[in-house]
Amino acid sequence: MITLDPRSPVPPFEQLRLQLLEQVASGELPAGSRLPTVRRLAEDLGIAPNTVARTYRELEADGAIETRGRHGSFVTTGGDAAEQQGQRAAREFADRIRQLKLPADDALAWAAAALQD
Amino acid sequence: MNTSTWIVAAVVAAFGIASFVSSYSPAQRAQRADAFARSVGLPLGDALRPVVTDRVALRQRGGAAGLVAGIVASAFLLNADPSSGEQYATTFLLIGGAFAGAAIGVAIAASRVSAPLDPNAVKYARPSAVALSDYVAPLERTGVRVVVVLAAATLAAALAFGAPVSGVLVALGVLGVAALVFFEIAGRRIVARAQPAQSPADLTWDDAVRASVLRDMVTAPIILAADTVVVAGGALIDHVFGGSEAARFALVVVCIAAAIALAIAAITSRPQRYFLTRLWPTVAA
Repeated sequence: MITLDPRSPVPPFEQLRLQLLEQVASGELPAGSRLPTVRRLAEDLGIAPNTVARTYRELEADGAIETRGRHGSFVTTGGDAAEQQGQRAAREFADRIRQLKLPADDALAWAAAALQD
Repeated sequence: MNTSTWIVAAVVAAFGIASFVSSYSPAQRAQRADAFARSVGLPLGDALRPVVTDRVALRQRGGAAGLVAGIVASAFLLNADPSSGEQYATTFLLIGGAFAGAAIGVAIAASRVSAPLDPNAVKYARPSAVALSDYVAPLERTGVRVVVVLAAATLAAALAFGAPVSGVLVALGVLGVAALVFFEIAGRRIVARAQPAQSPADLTWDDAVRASVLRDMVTAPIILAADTVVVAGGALIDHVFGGSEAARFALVVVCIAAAIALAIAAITSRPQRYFLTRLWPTVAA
């Protein structure tokens, strides 16, 4: 179940994104599940379709869901969504280190230290 | 149409009018809502009682209005063609027309429902998409297709063997197919409609009413197609076996056995609670 609190300080987009992400990670929304259409979910929750569309785009970028054309959006079948996000964050970190031309060993040490904080 | 067919039409129309009028009686409405709650096995709390009572009454009104419109339209069409064929086919078409009208009526009533949301209230939504198969049990969803195909095959066989097939019988078969197409298209539209909810109970009850509307809609093609099988099968057997009493008796026995088997399957599988097992497994348990 998704709940949306209009009086919450958390924006609707973030409330929706976090709940869907959590349900994908916990398996409550199993791999292969079809999500409601953007319009349908927007009407159910009384929010703008753009908000739902943006949430779906973000989830797709995170690897939690995939869009199969006009068949709709589905929970991805490949691996755990949280792991996929972690891998994406690691790739972004590596790209940034390369851009800054910093040594890889130093970057790994910084990452290890940051994780132990 | 002869006198007995007119009597059937009048009785069905009177039933429809009585059902329509009773949907405005507060006592009848409350009784219907309670009966509905018992049939789906959901507790009807005070907070949701007015909404559910209105929805059940609206469905009843739509079905009753459609039933009367269906019987009037069928009677009008049959009366326009006095040489319209077998007596029992005419009666079956009248009754089938009433069921088809009721199916259209409940579909229209379901599409008119709108629940305004409090903009400041917490909203609830299901995170996964739903389909027609979540509301209508496989027994009914597959059963209706099987019966319609069987009806078409029986009608085709009757025509192929040169059995006497009246225009009414063909109309019965065509109406059965049309009712199935209507169920498949209108049913999907109803399922695709938004379900604004301010509590999980709101959503559960909306699912319950939705499932009952879809089950009402699936009844029409089943009745029409079953009627076609009986009438076309009778005509075919009469033609092939030269009006043998034993063959007619065998057809009646097969039809009664099929009806009993379906009734037992429907009672034991409790299709009115099917949506709970699909969409609300914890509630169903």
